[in-house]
Amino acid sequence: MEEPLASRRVLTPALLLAPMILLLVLFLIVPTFGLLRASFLSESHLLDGSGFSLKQYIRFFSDSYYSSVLFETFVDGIIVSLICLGIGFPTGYSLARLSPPARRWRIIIVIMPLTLSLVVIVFGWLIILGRNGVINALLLSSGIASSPKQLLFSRPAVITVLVQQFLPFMILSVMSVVTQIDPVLEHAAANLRANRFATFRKVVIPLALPGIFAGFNLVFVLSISAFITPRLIGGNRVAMLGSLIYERIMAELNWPSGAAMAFILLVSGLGVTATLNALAASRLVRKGGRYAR
Amino acid sequence: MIKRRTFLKVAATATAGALAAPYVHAESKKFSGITLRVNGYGGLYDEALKKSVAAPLEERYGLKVQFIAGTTSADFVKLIANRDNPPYDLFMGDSPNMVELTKAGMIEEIRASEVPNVKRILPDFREFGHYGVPFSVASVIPVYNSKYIKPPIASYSDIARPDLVGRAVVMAPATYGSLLTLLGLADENGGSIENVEPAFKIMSAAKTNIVALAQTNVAEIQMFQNEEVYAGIFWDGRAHELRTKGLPIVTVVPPKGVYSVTTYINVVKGNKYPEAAYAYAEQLLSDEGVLGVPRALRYGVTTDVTLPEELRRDLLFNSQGRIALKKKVDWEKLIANRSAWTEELNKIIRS
Amino acid sequence: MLALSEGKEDAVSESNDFVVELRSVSKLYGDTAAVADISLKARRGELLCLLGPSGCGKTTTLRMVAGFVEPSSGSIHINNIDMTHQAPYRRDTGMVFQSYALFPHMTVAGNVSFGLENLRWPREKRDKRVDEMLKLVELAHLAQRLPSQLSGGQQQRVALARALAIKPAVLLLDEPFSNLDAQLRVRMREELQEVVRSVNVTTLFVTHDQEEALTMSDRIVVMNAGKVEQIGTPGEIYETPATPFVAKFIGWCSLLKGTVDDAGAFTSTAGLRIMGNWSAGPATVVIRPEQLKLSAGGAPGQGQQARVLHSQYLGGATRVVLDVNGEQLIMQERFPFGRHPQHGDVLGITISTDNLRLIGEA
Ligand SMILES: Nc1ncnc2c1ncn2[C@@H]1O[C@H](COP(=O)(O)OP(=O)(O)OP(=O)(O)O)[C@@H](O)[C@H]1O
Ligand SMILES: [Mg+2]
Repeated sequence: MEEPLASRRVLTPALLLAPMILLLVLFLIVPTFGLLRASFLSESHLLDGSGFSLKQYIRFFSDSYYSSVLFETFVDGIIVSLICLGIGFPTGYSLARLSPPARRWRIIIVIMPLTLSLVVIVFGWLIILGRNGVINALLLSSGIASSPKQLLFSRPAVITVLVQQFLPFMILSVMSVVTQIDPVLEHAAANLRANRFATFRKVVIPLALPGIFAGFNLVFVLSISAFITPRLIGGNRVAMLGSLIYERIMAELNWPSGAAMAFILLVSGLGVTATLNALAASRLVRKGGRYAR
Repeated sequence: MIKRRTFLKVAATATAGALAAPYVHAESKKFSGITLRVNGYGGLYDEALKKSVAAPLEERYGLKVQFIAGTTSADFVKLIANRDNPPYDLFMGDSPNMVELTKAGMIEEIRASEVPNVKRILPDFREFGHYGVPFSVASVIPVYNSKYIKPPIASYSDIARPDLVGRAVVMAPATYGSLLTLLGLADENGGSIENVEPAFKIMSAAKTNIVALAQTNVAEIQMFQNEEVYAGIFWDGRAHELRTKGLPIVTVVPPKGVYSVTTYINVVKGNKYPEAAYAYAEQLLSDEGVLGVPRALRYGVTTDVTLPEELRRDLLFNSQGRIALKKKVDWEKLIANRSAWTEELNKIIRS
Repeated sequence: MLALSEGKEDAVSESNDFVVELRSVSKLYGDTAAVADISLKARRGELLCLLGPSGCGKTTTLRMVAGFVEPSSGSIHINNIDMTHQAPYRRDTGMVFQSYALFPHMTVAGNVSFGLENLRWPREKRDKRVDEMLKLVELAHLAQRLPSQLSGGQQQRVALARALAIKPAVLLLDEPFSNLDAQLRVRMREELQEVVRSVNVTTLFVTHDQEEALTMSDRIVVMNAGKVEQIGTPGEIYETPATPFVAKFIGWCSLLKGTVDDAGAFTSTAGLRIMGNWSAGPATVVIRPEQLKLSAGGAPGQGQQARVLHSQYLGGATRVVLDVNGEQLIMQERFPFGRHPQHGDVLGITISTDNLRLIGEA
C-alpha cells in the first residue's frame, strides 16, 4: 500500500506542472535559444544563417554609445521602480487593510488600466501632455506658465507614462503581502510606544519586504524592456535599449544584432535584479541582527 | 509619339467599349472561384485598392481579392519562411523591400506580354528591371505650418534653420523616410549616397530644433495637428491629409531634387493563379486602378494617365517638370548603409 | 520564579489611588452596543479581572483602554489623566494579545527591546532591562530565537516580558492562556500571578473562565451583554452574587424563583419551602451544591425527599441533580464506594440556610 501512494505523491505535482512547463519550453525556452543562436551569426539579416561569430557582441561593447544607453535604461528602470514603490506602497497597504468586499471593486479600478491597449494609453498621454493638452491648459489658466510648455518627448514624460503603466504590478505585489501581515502586529507596535511612522518603518515595511522586492523586480524588468512608450512618448529622443532592439529587428531586419542586444539586456537585467536583491537581503539580515541586539 | 499613343488609347477604349457587353458575358466566369491573397497596408490604402482594383475585377471576372493587412517587413519574413506554400499570391512592397524580394528570388518578372499596361509606366519609374509593377509613388518632402513659420522653408536643409528651435520633427531612424531625408540633406550639401557626412552635420545642427522623431505617420500627423511641431520632413500624401484637416500645411518642393519611394505589386513565384494575378496588375495600371490610391491618399501615379483637375492640383508630381525632380536611388546601397546610418543618427539625436 | 522588586511606589491597596478609571464608557457598532455604560476603577497594583460570556464586550473594553477602539461616549482615565482620545502609543499601557502578536522578524530579545527603543532608552540600559525581563520569565537562554522557534507557552512569556519591559502603568491581558492546553494553562496562571505581583503592576485581565478569575484576581468585574453585573472580590462574587446571572455564571448553583412570605420564609414557584428570616416579596434563592447535605446517611424518610435525576462521578465526589418538590437542585457529595446514587433513587437531604443567598427583586 505504501509504495504506490508514495509514487503517486511525486507524480501528481509533476502532472500538475506539465502544461505550464510544456508552454514555457515551447514558447519561451525554444525561441530564446533560437535568439541566442542568432546572436552569434555574423552578418546575415535573417535568422537562418550559419557559422559562429562574436561580431554582434563586439559591435555592442566596442561602442560606448550602447553601454551608455544600457546604463540609462537601467537608471530609468530604477527611477520608475522607486516612484512606483513610493506611490504603490501606501495604495497597496491601504487596500490590504480594507475588508475584502470593499477591496474588490477598488482592485478592479487598479487593474483596469492593464486591460487597456498600450496604444490607447499612449495616445491618451499624448493628449494629456501635449501643448494643447490638459496639463498645459491647467498651467496656463492657473498662471503658473505664460506659454505652453514642451512636456512630451522628454525623459520625465517617458518615466511618468511608464510609472502609470506598471504601478498596478507594484500595488498588487505589496497588497498581497500586506494582507498576510496580521494587523494586530501594528496594534502591538503602537502599544509598545511606536508611532505610525515607527510602526511602518520597524514592523510593516520589514514584513512587507518580499512584496516590495517582487513589485520592484517586476516594474524594473518591465521598464527596462519597454519600447513602445520610449518611442512614442519619448518621440524617439529618449534612448532606451528596448526601442533600439525593436528598431534593429523590425525596421532593419537585423536579427543577429537585435538578438545580441536582447541577450545583453536580458543578462545584465538579471544581473542588476540579482544584485539588488542580494543587497536588500543582506540588509534585511543585518536588520534582524540589530533587533537581536 | 504622345499623340500616337493618345490615339491608340482612344482607339482601344472605343474598341473595348464596343466589345464590352458581349465580352463580359462570355468571360464572366473566367476567374470565378479564385481568391487572390495580397498583403495589405491597412486602412484607407487597402480600401482604395479594393474600390479601384478588386471591385472591378470581381464584377468583370468573378475574381475575389483578399487584403491581409500587416507590416511589410513582417509579411516578407512570412513569405520567405513559407517558400513552398506562399501565404500571398501577390506581394505589395516599396522600393527598399524590392531589393530583398528580388534577392530572395520569390517574385516573377513581369513584361508587357503578360501585363500590357506595363507599357504605360513612366520612364525611370521601374527601378528593378522587369521585376515589380510600380503603381504609386510617395515622396519625402519638407512641410511647414504657414500660420507660425513665416519665411517659407525652401529645402530639406532648412530643417536646421535657427527659427525652428524646438519646433521640428523628422522621421524615426531606420525608417525609409529617415534614410531618404539623409539622402536629400547629403545631396543639398555636396554629399551623396557615398558620402552622407554633410547630412549628419545638418542633423547635428538641427538637434535643438528636433523635438521628436516620429515613429509612425499617425504619430507625426498628431504632432502637427496638436501643434507640437510647426515644421518637419514628411510624406507628400500625409501633408495633403493634414491640409484636409484644415491645417495650413505647405508642401515644399526642394529645388535640387525630391527623394521618393515607389510602391510595387509583385506576382509571387509558385502561386496557383498566375493569370488572375496578371489581371490584377493590369487593372492596377489601368486609369481606374492607378488613380485609386491618389484619389484616397494623394500619393503620386506611375503611368501616363491623365490626371483629373483636382488631383493635378494636389499631387506633387503633376507635371513633366516636377517628375524630372524625382531622384534616382541606389536602393541596394541604401539598404547596405541603413544600419550604419541609423546608428550614427541615433547617436546624434539621442544624447 | 525569580521575584523582582520594582522601583515603583509601594502598593496602596485600600487607598483611592486609581490607576485606571472608566466613566460611563459605551461603544456602539451601528445600533448594537458592544459595551453599554461601563464604569470601573482599578487601584494601583490591583489585578482586576473582566469576566463574562463570549461576546459580552470584554475585549472591546480592553481595547478601548489600550486605545485601539475609540469609545462612543464616556471617558477613560489613566493615572488621572483623560486619555479618551489619545493615540495608543501615548497611553501608558502594556498589552499581551490573545495571539501574542510577537514580531516574527525579530528575535525574542528584539521583541522585548522594541518598546524600549521607541522610548529611546540608551542602549546599555535597554540591554540590561531586556536581560532582566527575560530572566523574570525564565527565557534568558532563548534570547536569540525567533518567535516561530518557540512553543506556545514560551511565546506567551515573551509577550508578557515585552509588555512589562516598558514599565506600563497598566498591564492589559486578553485571554492570554486561551491558546494553551489545560495543564500549561494552570502553570502559566501561577507564573503570571507571581510575575505581576512581583512587579506590582495594575492589571486588567480578560477571561471567560470563572476558575481563572476566581483564583487570580483581587477583584472581578462580571460583565454580561455589554453591562457590568457586579464588581467585587472573588469571595463577594461567589458568596453574595448581586444578580442571578452572576450566581449562575460563577460556580455551580441552583436558582429557585419564588416569593418570601410575611413570616420570612421562601416558597419556590414549584412549592419548595425554605425557612428563613427574609423580607417579603418576590425573590430568587441561590443554592450552591455544598449547601445541600445528606440527612443522616441519606436514608429516605429523613429531611427533604429528593429523587435522583442523574449523577456524574467526578473522581472522589459525585455531582447529583435532584428533584426536590418539583425543583431541580444540584448537590456535590462524597458517597461511600459502591453506594453511588442511581437514577430513580430517593435520598433524604437538608438545605443548610447558613449563608444561603437570597436575591430580592425590588
Ligand atoms: N468591529 C466590530 N464591529 C461590529 N461589532 C463588533 C466589533 N467588534 C466587536 N463587536 C461586537 O461587540 C460585541 C463584544 O465583542 P467583544 O470582542 O468585546 O467580546 P468578548 O467579550 O471579548 O468575547 P470573547 O470572549 O468571545 O472574546 C460582540 O457582540 C461583537 O460581535
Ligand atoms: Mg475577546
